[in-house]
Amino acid sequence: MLGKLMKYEWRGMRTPLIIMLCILAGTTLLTCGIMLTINPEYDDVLVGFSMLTAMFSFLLYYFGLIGCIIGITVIIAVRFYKTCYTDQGYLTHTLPVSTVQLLAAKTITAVLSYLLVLAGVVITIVVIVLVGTSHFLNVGDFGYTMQEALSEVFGGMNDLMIIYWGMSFGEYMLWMLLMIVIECVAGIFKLFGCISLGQLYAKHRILGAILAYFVLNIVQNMIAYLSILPTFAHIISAAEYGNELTMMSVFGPNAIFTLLTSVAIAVAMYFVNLHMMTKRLNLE
Amino acid sequence: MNEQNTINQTGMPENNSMTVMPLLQVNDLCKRYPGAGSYMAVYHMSFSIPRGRIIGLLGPNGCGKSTLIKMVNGLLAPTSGAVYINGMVPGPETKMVISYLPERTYLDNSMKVCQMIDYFCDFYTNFSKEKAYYMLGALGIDLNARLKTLSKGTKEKVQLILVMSREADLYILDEPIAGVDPAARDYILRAIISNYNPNATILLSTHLISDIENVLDDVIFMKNGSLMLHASVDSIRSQTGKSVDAYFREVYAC
Repeated sequence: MLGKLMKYEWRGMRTPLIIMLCILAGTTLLTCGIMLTINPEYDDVLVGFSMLTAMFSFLLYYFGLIGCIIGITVIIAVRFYKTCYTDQGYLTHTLPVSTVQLLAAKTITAVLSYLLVLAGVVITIVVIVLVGTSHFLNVGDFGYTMQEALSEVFGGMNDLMIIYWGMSFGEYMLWMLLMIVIECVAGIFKLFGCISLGQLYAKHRILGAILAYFVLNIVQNMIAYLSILPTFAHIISAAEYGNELTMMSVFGPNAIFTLLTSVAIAVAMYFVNLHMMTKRLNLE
Repeated sequence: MNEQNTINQTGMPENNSMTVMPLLQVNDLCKRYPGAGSYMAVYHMSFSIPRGRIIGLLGPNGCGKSTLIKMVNGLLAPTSGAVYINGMVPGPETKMVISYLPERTYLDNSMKVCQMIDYFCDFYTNFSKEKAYYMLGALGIDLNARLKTLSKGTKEKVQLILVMSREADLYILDEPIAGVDPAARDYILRAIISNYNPNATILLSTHLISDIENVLDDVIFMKNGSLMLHASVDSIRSQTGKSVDAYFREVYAC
């Protein structure tokens, strides 16, 4: 039944997700197009104008990116609310499936959709960087092919990462990937949990959900703020003794604590969801 | 409660065997909504329903019919008491044997009629695609039409067809004829009767009694969240000398 639930969840998410990805692709194309209108050979008089054009193109991409991330979050939230707590909830909650399966299907599909958008963001950033690099820096003039230039850049980055971060570029990327996936799953659980908590306010369900989301975020941010205080103390004491610290040794423990906090909140929100959908379900 | 005692002291229609496990059993069921103070939407209700009956769940607006139905369907958790369907508490297994028509349209407007049929077919092993296609064809409903393009009445008919195309043990129809024109009302009643499986039971909630009286075997009267009467239509007619509709008007006279 989980597979069937996921199939229909995916069908419901597919169209808005494709629209989001098309918007992202569109803004990337526009950004690249605008970048290509800038002539790198311009004289000083036109440098200001070129800079303005470049900034405009990056701003355009930035807004497109933010729009897509907010858009997919809203789409996921609206779909969950609509299928679980409006009239469609009568069908959803009378399907011969357990609440655990229902939640799993919705969470997995939402996480995959979110990760797809994030993958789209990574790909478009790479495209913009490659287009920008090849347009503004003619690597051939330096006697390099693009592949050689990239391996030189990443090699340099790797050395710098080891010195300043205490880990290689590959390890850093793996660490980031792990954080993104965990934060993504936790974020979806938090979103769904808050929507379910909003059902406690029978007359103002949506407002209740938004309120729950803000309160939870404030609490989470306060925990993050308090948890980073020992890190600052660590930096100050290290500076006093003239110790050289890597970024990972400074921020690593705090990052792990933040991840654990997110996991704890996700687990709590999962049980909130289960409780709300089984014991406190009250469709209008 | 006196009426119930007069007509049927067991709370069950007389022609049913008590030895067979009831299809639906409600034991001392209570429901209090959060924030409603001490008001009980359903108050200590107990009754059981056997197979093979068409039962009217009757009562004025706000008497707790929909709350009771939601608890049977697992859409609401009881405050106290229990509901058993085939001896099981509401869950995935009971949802497989109950075919529920809520008073609201629960279909996904973005889907086509044929996609909705596939949806039901995927989740309910007792769903008959052929039956659904036949009934939709008889009404001339386009299978490729998106639900959002259909009128409210047509959507309600599609929903009824989906519900009645299942070979369920218990059909629960909440206000299926409320707010529809007389022609549609006739169609709905015909659809219910023609798809009736003698081994199944239909629990039909309404306050439009005159329209459905002739198809009912038993009735359950509810008032202020409590069971007022559970009796067969025949016994009401023979003991009171009145139709169920006339008796209902007398009982619930304002």
